Amino acid sequence: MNRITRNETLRDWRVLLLILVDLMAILALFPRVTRSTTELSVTDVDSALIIQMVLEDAFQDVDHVSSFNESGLTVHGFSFELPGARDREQVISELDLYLSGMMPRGIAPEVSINNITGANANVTIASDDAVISTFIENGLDVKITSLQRLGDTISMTLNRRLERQQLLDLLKASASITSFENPRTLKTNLKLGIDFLGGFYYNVRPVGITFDVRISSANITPRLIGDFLNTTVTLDEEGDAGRLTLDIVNPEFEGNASGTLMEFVIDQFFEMNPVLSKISFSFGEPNSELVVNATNYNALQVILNRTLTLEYDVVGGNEPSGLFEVEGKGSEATEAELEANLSDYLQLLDYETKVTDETIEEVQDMIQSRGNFLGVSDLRLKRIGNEYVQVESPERISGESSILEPLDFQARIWKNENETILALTSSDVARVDHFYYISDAGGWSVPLTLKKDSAEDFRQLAISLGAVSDDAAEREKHKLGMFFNRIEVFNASFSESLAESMRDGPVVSILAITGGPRDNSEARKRAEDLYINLEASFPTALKTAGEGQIPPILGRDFGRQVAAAAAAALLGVSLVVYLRYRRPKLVLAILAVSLSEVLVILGFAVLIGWYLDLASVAAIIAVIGTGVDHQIVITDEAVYQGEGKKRLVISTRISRAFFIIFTAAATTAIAMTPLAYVGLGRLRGFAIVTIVGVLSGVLITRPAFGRIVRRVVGGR
Amino acid sequence: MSRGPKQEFSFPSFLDVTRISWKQMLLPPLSLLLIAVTIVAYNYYTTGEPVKFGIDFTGGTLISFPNSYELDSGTIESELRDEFGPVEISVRKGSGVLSVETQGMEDEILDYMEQKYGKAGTKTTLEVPLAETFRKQAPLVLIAAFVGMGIVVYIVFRSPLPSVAVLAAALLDIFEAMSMMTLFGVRLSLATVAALLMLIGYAVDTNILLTSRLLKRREEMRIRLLGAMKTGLTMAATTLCAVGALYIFSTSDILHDIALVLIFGLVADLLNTWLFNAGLLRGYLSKKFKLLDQRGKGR
Repeated sequence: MNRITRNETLRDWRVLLLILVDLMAILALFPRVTRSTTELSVTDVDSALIIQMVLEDAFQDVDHVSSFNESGLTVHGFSFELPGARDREQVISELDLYLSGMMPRGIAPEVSINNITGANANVTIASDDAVISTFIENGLDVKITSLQRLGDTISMTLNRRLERQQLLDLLKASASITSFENPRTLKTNLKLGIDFLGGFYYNVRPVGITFDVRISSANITPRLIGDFLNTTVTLDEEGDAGRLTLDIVNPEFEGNASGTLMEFVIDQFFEMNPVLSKISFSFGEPNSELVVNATNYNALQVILNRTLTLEYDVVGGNEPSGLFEVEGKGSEATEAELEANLSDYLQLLDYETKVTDETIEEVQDMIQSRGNFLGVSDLRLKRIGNEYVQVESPERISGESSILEPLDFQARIWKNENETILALTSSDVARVDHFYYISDAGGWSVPLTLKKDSAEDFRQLAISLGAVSDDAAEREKHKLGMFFNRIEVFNASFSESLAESMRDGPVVSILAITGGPRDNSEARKRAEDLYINLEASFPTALKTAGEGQIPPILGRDFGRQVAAAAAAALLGVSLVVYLRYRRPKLVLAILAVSLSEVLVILGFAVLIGWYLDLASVAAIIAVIGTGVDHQIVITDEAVYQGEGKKRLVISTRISRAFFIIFTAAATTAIAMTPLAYVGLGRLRGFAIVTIVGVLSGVLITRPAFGRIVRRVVGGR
Repeated sequence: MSRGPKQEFSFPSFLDVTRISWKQMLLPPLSLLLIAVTIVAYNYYTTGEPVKFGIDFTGGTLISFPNSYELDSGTIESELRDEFGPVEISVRKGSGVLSVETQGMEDEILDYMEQKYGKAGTKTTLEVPLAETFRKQAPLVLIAAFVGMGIVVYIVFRSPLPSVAVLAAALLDIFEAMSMMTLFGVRLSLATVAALLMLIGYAVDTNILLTSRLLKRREEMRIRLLGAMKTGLTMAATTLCAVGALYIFSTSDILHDIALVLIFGLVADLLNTWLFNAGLLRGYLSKKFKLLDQRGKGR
């Protein structure tokens, strides 16, 4: 009867391992006290004054004229002076811009313009809550994470720490602060997903198709050459590496067929199809012999170029078998359309409306770098199924921002008043530099470096149209227009100096001008869009297949709720365990080990940069639940000692418990593996956390618990 | 005081299932299964769907009303349902944001909320291009999971019976919890699917406990079964306590749904494990030993 001492238990490697892992988890989580929020309450909110303050930024001599109620909404009347001549529509859109968030959607302000410089506007406001929150958000560049109205008091939490004075300066007399606090909050390295913080998600599909083909150059190449020469060409001999010896029935040329003439025509064929090459040609009567180099891959390229309008890439395949995989980025051709175009030449096998994995990965990278550029932090990308990419963002990124919308950029030269000719597209650009405002050019500009060939083509076109003529009047007729998504956003004639350089030779550095003047925010935005689109261009078009908003469930009260539920759960579990075994130490052991399990899972989540979403939290609850279950299995085996002669030593009993636990854990882990692999939307987190939790449980925490139980129950 | 070795095996007599025959043990779980089948069949007959799918599966429109601290999601939901009749509407609330999910009439709902409560909302269309993928893949994932579980259990016990028992219990737990969801109007959403998957873990735990204690021990059958039950009921009690706390103390509707589904599933698991599977195993063991006795090999 050797009872295990406390020291022995503590020195046991299983217990030491658990303590070590717990420490590591705590280190990874690294909780620290930060002051990241400001909480305040305001009262006496004078929304008329706030709106007046906002309007004063844009207009002059703003006066509040009247207020009245209209079916529960307050309407404020203002008079102000317009700095320049504007019509009613313009004033409405300006007001919309400045007061967006304060006015209810769909209710346009009523505006009357008295004379050139004066205007009256009736503005319907949403509510004091909306007015003050919009005002503070815009004035201090913060976000309000929660807002609550109690009587006259409006309480809110801001996502950033502010000085009281900053708020007082902003609010002036429009509201008075009744309480102000910069509370300390506990922050960890744990990343929370949009389930908790709220946000938007978008499902985008890179447009494109992939298909497999089987092609035989030995069949196709003689036919292609035969069609071109309008004669019969047969395969004489097939050599290695695409070497084909062809027998050509000399075609009927006007006059006499001579070897030189025939070779000249044949050379033209190879000029048109540069992927194929001629090895030798020997003229004979009545048949000539042509040796060509045409692999299956070459023949496929020729077929794809000549039969399909869009660009298709061969992305994989195997030369000996003639089987290739082809990707059409941006193509929406149906299987029937492809069949109609290609079936004469090759065999169409698998057809799928998706792009390749590489292309999807490239799209993901580009979305991420666009997000980084635009300062939208925390974009989270996930692949869903074979075709979709899901983008989760804490802020709205569709619509105005250009993260998900590829830009179709074209520079076109005006041929005459009605017609433009395509001069440059995104694919002609070799390099792009950061945009800036150039006063000489009169606009926001993006410096582009063209590819060499493109620069030469561009020069030829400009010269042929007269756009770079030395006659300024002629140049004025053939301006260069910038087209964004097929709409002209800016045009200008070639400058004297540029025209001169282009007459001399190709110019690779040009500026894409997106409009001016300097304070034209739309022109600036276009320059930014163009820059981003060239810097991080999508390999293919994207289609948004669905978007949605997830309301935040993590607010002021959520943490408290979870804490209350957790406390009640712990209490309940402890009570049951105590009633069953009547050993307080056992209750402590179970609680401590369960807590370790939470720590280990959270620490792991931090290490792999996992965003904790709702499904993951559900999995943590499940893992803790099964953890407690397993500890009860161990305890029961330890406590129950068998009868009479069949009494077993405690180590045997505990190892019997571990048989049950290991089997159960292995089964659960296997059950979750398909889900972790497939993902099924946002459920992958659930599967991964369950697997990690169950495995770390049986490998780390439960062996230690078994050891602790031996001490608590008394090892006999 | 630790228990002495001579202490009588204690077990509350009203829970002593060995007082009834193994066939009688099957009755309650079979009636639960019958009820579940009836509910699902009725729902399928009336709505064309075996369960109520939430907006995660069907798509629709989400309307958010910020600053709605004073409104109660339950009241609004029943009000909107009365008002807009057959349209599927569900209302959730969190952090003062009232979220109305609907499959139509969104403009009417916006007007109604504006008129009655003075709340201006914003709407977002939720398209679910993935719903189809999900419906296609979900059965495959389930089948793969169950096949994997079956193989692991078979390898450990070297007998097909425990595999069948574990799989049947997990499947029945999930199915019966789903039928209860239908009955109580809880929709199938991503959160509730997660909750249903959590049941797999619990079903596996209890059933492996049961089968390994019953098949691998040498004590008297009654002791083996009641011992396993004692452990199992303690496990269920702790888990129900924790889930009950989650249900009572959280006001987040998502956590509510998860807790409710777990309670349904755990109750179903009690019947399916400790009456259904225990009954079948009892029957199997008694027949096996009778055979052994007849051959003169029994002890």
